[in-house]
Amino acid sequence: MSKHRFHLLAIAMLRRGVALRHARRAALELQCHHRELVAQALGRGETAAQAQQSADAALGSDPVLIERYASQRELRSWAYRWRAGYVLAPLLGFAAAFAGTILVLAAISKPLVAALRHVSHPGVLNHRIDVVFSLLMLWLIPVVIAVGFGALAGKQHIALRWLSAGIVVLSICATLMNVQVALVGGSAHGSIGAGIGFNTTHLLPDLLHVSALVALTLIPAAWLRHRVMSGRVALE
Amino acid sequence: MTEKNPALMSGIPELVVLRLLAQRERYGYEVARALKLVSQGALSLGEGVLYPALHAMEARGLLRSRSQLADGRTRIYYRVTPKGRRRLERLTSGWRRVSEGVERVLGAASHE
Repeated sequence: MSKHRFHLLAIAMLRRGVALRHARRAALELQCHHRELVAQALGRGETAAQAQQSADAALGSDPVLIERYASQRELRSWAYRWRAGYVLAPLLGFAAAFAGTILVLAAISKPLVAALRHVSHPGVLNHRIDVVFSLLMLWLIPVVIAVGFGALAGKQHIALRWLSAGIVVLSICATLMNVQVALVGGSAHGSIGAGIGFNTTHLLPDLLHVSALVALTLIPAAWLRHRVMSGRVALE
Repeated sequence: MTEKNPALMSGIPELVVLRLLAQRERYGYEVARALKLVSQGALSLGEGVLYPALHAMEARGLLRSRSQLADGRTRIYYRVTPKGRRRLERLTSGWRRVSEGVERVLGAASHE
């Protein structure tokens, strides 16, 4: 068996839910064991080809080896055990990032309001600030969260359906959220508002919004997942 | 194991691996060879059983491992932890009870 064969064995184990640590070590140990078997066979006087064949036979078939590891509960990755968590985790990540941004904004709003007190066109500036924060919180944060989970799903070899479900849930919730930021021309602390709502009169724009957000988040996340998954797992 | 009998054989890989590793630390290939050698060929663990068992025992805290580079190969050496030694004592006494029981039954059967 070549080193590449053991690498593929490790990948197959990861896909069956074996934790990265165990899959990596299994490939390393089986490769080492195979070399010992080859050396032993050569010592018995077998030719190089015969030694390879007898070592391959002694080691057993890949599907059997993979099944033996995958059937051990202790060797499964947490991500595989809790793969349904990928449906909710991006949403929780978004909620945490959203709340964190609101808190940071609230903390810095007073000096920001003071600094912007004497601007010449407060209405225009207010609108621009509002647009920037809406873009940040309702578009950029969901994309970053989705891409992050895409990379994680790739590392853990999580099926695309779990990641996709999570990203669709995240996109729907991000569409239903709204945020208003007014730092100029109002109170000394400015005003920051956020909420979640649904209106049937906005059904079509909301559906378009969800579709656009799903495309914006799912495409880079799925691409990154694929990139990470097809990257080589270090065997040594 | 050489002869397949799931009910009778369950727990034996763990017992023999713990026993061999309680003597000194070994890597997987050494465990497989030592088992064949010590049991004079009566017992053998396939690689597909041995390595997952080693990993699972380590995950349960019965073994500890370390890697070492030797002859250009990275070997993973395993040794028994105190928890593993206690487990070995329990498995050994359990196996002795079964073994003595079977011996008595065989002895009694031969006298009938």
